[in-house]
Amino acid sequence: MASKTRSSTKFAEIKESGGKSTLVLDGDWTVDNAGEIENAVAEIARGEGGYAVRAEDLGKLDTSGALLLKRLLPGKKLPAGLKPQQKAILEFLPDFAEYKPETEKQPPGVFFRTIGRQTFAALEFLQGLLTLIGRVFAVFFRNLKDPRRFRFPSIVRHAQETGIEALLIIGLLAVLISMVITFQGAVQLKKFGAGIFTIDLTVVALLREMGVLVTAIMVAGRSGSSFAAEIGVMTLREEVNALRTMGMDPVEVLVAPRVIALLITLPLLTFIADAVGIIGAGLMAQPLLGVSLEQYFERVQATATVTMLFVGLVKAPAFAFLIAIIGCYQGLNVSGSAESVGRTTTLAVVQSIFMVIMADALFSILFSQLDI
Amino acid sequence: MPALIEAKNITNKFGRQVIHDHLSLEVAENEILGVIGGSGSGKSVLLRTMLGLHKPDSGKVLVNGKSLYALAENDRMSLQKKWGVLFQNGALFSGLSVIDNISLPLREHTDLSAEAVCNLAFLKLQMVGLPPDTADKFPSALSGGMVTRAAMARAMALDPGLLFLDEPTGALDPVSAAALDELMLSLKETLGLSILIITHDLATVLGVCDRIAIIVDKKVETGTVDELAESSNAKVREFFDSPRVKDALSKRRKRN
Ligand SMILES: Nc1ncnc2c1ncn2[C@@H]1O[C@H](COP(=O)(O)OP(=O)(O)O)[C@@H](O)[C@H]1O
Ligand SMILES: [Mg+2]
Repeated sequence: MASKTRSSTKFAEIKESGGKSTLVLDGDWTVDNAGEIENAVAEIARGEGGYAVRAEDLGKLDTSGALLLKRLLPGKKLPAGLKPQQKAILEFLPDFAEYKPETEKQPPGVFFRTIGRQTFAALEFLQGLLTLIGRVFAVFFRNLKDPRRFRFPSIVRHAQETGIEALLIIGLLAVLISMVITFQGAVQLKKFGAGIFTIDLTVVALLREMGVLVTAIMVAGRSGSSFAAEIGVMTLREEVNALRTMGMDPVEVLVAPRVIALLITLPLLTFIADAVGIIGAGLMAQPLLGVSLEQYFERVQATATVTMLFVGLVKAPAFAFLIAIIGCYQGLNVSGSAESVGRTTTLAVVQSIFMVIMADALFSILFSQLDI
Repeated sequence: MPALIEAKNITNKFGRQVIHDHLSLEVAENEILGVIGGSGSGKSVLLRTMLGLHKPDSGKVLVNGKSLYALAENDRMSLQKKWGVLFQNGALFSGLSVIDNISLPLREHTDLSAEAVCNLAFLKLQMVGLPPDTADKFPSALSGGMVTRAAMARAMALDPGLLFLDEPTGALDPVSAAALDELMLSLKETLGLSILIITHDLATVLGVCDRIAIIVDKKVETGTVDELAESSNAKVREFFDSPRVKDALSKRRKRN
């Protein structure tokens, strides 16, 4: 009697004898061997069908094995020699249905489509931002009648977090920046014998621009991001919706206190950055320019004007407003998963720093028109 | 029957609050063990302890006779791989679609082709009774009950020998809950699984569980429903003393 093995692996082989082919199953058809079984199944499925299946030697069977086995069963007939439990598994599994991923077909003109979509997204962002600003003002004037609704404890908490806890890092940053400006200025100006003007340069730059800008950028990174993340998580966990259903306005409870807190702390931080920066520059000027501290402060006194200080300080509330509004807006507009909180936070920081610098440029134009 | 996993003399504390006081519990082969107890009685903490996620203040967790917390990291992970876990809030990965959530353990631990992995994951999705169009949705777009079922499918992905389920029927409608009960029984019968299920669902406790473990006063008392209903501990009896339970119990006795 001729007996021949057509295809053979550890788990399944086709034996031919007397003109009939038989598929003999062997080994444990479990998830641990799934890769090898899949290969064996693929090989047999490639060949001709028309075999009977015998499963006397089949060891363990689990759902992954059963799923692969079902591919080899012609006409859904169960193999001979199955143990009752194995039969139960095969019967218990739902009929095999192939998973087809949803693939969205990209229509032509992707480039223009993207530009269009992003333009609309930008417009929507602007509209949302303006709406939020309007609502914050509405809340503000409404609350004037009933000052308790300003939620002072919340304001104090945020002032603590955005202001007092940022003092050290912002002070340090101001010192370093003014030292760098002084150093670079001194190196260049000394070539012209005008080293003493380095002090003028540093004082003007610090009071008019650098003090408030460095502070605002730092605050955007520290507090703008935490506003977006805090409110974003609350939005995702439906805490914001819970507030709404309890008859509380999220803008009043969450946004307004943060905006007010930042409006208080950012100007104060800027003032401190200015003061500390001037001291830092003095420390640098002493050895570089060979002036005493007394001479340095005399020079500062002669250069700095009150207008100069206020040109810097007047920008601080505007920047604070932008940072707080953008952070809160992004937080309130989180949708989807925890992942999007991360993306939103990044977006809040990038957008608020961008807006701060834009606003700074506008202020520069305004002040030059006003001859200040 | 040998125990698959055994918690021995477990004591757990958070600060001064004692959650478990020398508590012991074991899951035998091919059984469904129901863990019940009031909210805050420490069911989830016990689960985390048995899973190797929360080291107890004293006591041991034994798996195959080895102490789980004394094992090297690698050995522990290869044990944990053989378990399926459904956490109380689902714990689906929010950045992955449902089908990818279910596929993840398969991709990681088998050498199946990507296509076979997806098909197997899709099969599990159907086994837990989710409609096929859920496959490509993200967890944030699912209802509570759907999250539970998707998490169940993920727990079953690698055909584990032991399933841990933390309040799976909490967010399910009665019909889906009944289907889940049915699924658990089928898994036990066809695949020879053991299941530890934390539940408040009376139908599950009475209809599915082989044994019940009830956490009362930081200890655990185990037995069949009938044994616990006759317990010497008044607080345990109290649990089975409501009219609803009595009703269900007498119906069950009549059936047997
Ligand atoms: N990480 C933790 N820190 C402090 N206490 C906890 C912690 N996790 C749980 N608890 C406390 O342990 C007790 C049991 O919690 P848990 O096991 O979640 O209860 P349940 O039985 O409802 O699942 C509760 O009182 C809870 O406050
Ligand atoms: Mg719990």
